[in-house]
Amino acid sequence: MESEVVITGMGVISALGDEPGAVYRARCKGDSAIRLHEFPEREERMLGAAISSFDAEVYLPDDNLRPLDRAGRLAVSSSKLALKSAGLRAEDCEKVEVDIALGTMFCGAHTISQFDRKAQVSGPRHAMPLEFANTVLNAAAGQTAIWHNLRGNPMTLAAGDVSGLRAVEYAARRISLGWSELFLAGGIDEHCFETSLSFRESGHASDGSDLGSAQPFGRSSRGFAPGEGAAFLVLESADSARNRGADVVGKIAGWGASYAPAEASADRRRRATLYAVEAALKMANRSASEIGYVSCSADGRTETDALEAKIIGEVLGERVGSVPIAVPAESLGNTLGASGVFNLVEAIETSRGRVLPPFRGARNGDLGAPDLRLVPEERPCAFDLALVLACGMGGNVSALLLSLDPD
Amino acid sequence: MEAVVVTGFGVICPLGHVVDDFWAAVLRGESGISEVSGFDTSRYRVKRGAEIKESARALHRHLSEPEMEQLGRTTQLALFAARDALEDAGLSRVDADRTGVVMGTTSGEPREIERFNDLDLSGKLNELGEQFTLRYPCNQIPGHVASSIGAFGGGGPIMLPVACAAGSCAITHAVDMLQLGEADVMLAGGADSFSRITYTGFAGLMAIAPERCQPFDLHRKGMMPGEGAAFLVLERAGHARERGARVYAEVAGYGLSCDAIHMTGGDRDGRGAVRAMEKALSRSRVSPDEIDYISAHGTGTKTSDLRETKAVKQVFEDSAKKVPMSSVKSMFGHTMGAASAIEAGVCCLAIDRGAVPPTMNLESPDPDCDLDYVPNEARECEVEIAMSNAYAFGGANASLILKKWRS
Repeated sequence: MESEVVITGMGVISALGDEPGAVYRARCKGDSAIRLHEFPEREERMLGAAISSFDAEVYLPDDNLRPLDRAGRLAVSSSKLALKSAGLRAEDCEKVEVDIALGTMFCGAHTISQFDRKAQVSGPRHAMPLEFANTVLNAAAGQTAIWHNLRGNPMTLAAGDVSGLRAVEYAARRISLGWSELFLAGGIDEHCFETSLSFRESGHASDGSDLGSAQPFGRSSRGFAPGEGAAFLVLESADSARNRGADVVGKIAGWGASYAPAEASADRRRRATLYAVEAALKMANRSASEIGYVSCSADGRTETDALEAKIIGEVLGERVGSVPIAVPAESLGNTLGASGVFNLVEAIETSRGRVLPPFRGARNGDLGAPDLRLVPEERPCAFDLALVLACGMGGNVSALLLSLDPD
Repeated sequence: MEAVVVTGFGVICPLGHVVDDFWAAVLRGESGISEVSGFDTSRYRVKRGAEIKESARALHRHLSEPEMEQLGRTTQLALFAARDALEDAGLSRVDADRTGVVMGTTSGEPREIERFNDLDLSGKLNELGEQFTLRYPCNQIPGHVASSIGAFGGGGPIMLPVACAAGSCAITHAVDMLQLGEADVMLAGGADSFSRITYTGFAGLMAIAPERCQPFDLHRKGMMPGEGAAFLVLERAGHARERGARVYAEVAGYGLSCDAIHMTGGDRDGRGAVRAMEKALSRSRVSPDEIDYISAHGTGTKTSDLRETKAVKQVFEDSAKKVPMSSVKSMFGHTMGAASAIEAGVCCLAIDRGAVPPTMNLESPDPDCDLDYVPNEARECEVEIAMSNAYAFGGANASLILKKWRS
């Protein structure tokens, strides 16, 4: 790495709050946003973790919000929080070219569906051009750039529910090589009928017959609970942060990504996942023995969760029973494009709070991860190197190492 | 950093699906525009588009019967072009861990949303099944390509859905991965299929021409939605040399920027386009007067034509009127996420074969568009260095520089 990549801002909008510390505290209390969500116009109830109270006017009070759909509102609002947290004002974004890397699985699937539906029901002339703008899959990144006047590289990345971490990796790579100075990197996805139904019908998401049917690492789990949210980081070179006098909250020390399709052998998938972690460690010039905390993507898909547990065990070796394991999807559901970024933010908050949120699923004991230390109560923890791992439903794997060393 | 070269090109679009035939048709200025047959246009003011009307037999050149039945349309097109590119590069087999796939799209598999709505509106949503989840998330498209050809390297397959600049964005990412040594071979491209959602959107914007596409013509009436896919095989020069590969061109550099002004309208002064071109020239260490050909974004809308002309004049100053600049969209419409991948391939062919394609249907030049657009007839000329421009919804701008390879 030519330049160190540091985190100087965070912004989140989630079903458990809109401030990183608040989300973390809710997690520490054992709160969960997963519930049976009603789609009244459909007379359907499905398990999910939607942000029921989200109102973009809270974050963008004096603006015309009509051009923004829900995905765009989530992206623009949370990115505003991230930029503010990094001490970047509108006039700063005029002077410096800020790049965007936004990860998403679906972007505005509901908007696209409604646009087509209106054309089919009422005729193509009734489909609004304003809405058409939000049917392209880079709409959220485009709206974010417009809203905050970000004139750099406006990248959107899609790698399923690993998209957010891939976006952070994309940004970190370019900063580390000196090709970019400042990046707004993160992920978003909305909770909507179309994606929730498709996940349920394909067997990926729980049928919602009971709240425990989407249990990370649960042996009898029947899939995940689709979540919703947006999480952004401001990433920049250490020099840029120093020159701006910005507070550094963490450092991206290394990353690795890999792929093994769902139909690949268990061994191929295992090797691919391990490869991502090893690549991140190699880049960071750190050893697995230094990892003091692991945040994982386990969400209730038994096969993928078991693979992730196995890899964590292999990476940590004899320390597997002592290293804290965080499972944010237990409270937030699988927030798809945003998920890995939420996990990064929680890792930073945990290093500050020095308490690991509880894993409620440990209460029933029916877990498929016997080696991991998953406990139902919050407990003290201190670490300076975190591994954030994500095993995606499409076969993508991403691993990021977060250094929280105060030096 | 070591040079990255293009060693293979595969394309499928309304002008053909065999590279040599495609190039011959481009130089003859053929038209790929016809009456839309994919859906009912009786409620639209316009009826024409640029659909691929190849026979199933032609598609079977690279697609198996199960692939024709089970994959979405965009995925089929992408897989066809990817296999064609590999064949063109003389790569019958690839090293799974050292070969990667990155591609772009505007809409992914929009026909899956259309199917969702068709089922819903006919009361058959219970027949949704797992097809939506398997096909619709746009990362599934590069995932299918990677799985089918056995290419799992470069961090795993990823989609960069950056609308109509997506193909170029994919090429930029591939260049990065190769130069950083994260892969030996990268397949980079783009794909989109003809869809009623896209057609409805552009029709609503009153942007579709009723008969033909006439970039830079005073009497232009708009763009022409199309479909297609293209992939380039990229590798480091040393790797290409070792295996004795034929080289089309070097990817000398690129530039990315965002207008950050309007989702669909862009910056009428072309400032974002200027920054993308300047970055590309700077990174390539090429001066404007060294450029022998510009592949224009050239959609055929007045706004786009004027903006690009203005931006080129600003960057190229005195040499602006000397450099040939043409739009292949005049022949086979706007293939959305595939467009800039196809156009990068056109630049490679122009360099390799010493000719530049025409801008067709340019009969009454717009006085405000006063550059050399190569009207209506291809031109034989030496092309040492070419620039490919692409602009997209969300304000994304991408410029590539392709250069004759001299080992």
